[in-house]
Amino acid sequence: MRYKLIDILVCPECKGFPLALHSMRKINISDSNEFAKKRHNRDGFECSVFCGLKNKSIKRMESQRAGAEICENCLSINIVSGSLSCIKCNAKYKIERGIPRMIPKRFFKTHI
Amino acid sequence: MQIPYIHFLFDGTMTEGLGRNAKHVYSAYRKMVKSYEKTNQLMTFFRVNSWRRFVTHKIAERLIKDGIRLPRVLDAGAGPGFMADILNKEISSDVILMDYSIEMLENSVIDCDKVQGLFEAMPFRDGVFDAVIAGFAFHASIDMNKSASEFARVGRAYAGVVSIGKSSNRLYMLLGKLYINYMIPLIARLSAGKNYTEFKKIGSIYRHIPDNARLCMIFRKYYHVTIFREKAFGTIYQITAKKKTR
Repeated sequence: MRYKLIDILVCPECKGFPLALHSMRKINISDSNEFAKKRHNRDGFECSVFCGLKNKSIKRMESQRAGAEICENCLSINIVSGSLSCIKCNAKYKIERGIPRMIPKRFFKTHI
Repeated sequence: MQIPYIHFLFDGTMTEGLGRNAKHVYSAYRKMVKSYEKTNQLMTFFRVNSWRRFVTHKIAERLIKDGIRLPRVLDAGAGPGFMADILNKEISSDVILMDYSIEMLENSVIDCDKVQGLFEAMPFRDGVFDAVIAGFAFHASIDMNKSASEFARVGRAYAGVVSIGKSSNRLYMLLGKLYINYMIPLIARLSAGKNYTEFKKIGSIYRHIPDNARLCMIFRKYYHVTIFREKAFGTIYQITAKKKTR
């Protein structure tokens, strides 16, 4: 997963936001990355509320005038493993093989 | 009108959808990853992509009309991402695939971000997607009412769904039942080999989904349904809808 997901992911249990990221392994993905190409001409920040890479709100970053460069770098990083945790309800979600596992525990017990 | 197909959730609330039967259906989907699309093509007489394309085309049209550059789209119940792939050919978009099956996501056909999640508890902020699409997935939801409300919560504007349905016409319903219970396992035997028994579980989906009229009503709670079409004797339905503004 890329850092930009942190801007939209919430805890599926309590809808807590933002989730705290504890990344264990990251890899750089090549410039041929399709999304990075599409984003190339966009101004400002890729994310709208929270920057996962800098762990700061976008409002704060805008005041510091840090912009497009950060996003370019960010999009070329892929988080392969780690975990996400909800600050509100303490629920933890693993990231394995680049995919965050965001299924609430109560569903695992009864439905999956 | 049909009596709604009601189940009880873990918390005792009533719902329409797979309910606790999801366990068997989900395990079947995990096992059919490799033969999934091949069998899909065969059992729909190679019409599956045209049904997907109809919905994605309508959604793309609306996104273009609204002038949204690089729209963010959620492919809910994406499987390997066929629906998103078709949409991407029509409009350049930032797609996110969500499915409960890791096996399906790992075999995805497009390069984009993937999230393991459920329709009923989507792990996304409110209104972050310009459109939510679902191709042959909505029938597998545990609680259809909750799923539709989650579609409307995470989506800002449009929804496009193509899925297995059940006609409100009793004759068509019987034909659909016969086809799904007897023909599909036979077809799956050709394409899926040993795993053909997993396709028998689609019969369980057909038993548990409400009829198409009721499904349309569920969507109408949250959306203005712009297109509702039934195909193949009502065993397939296509919906495109715009979110109600409150």
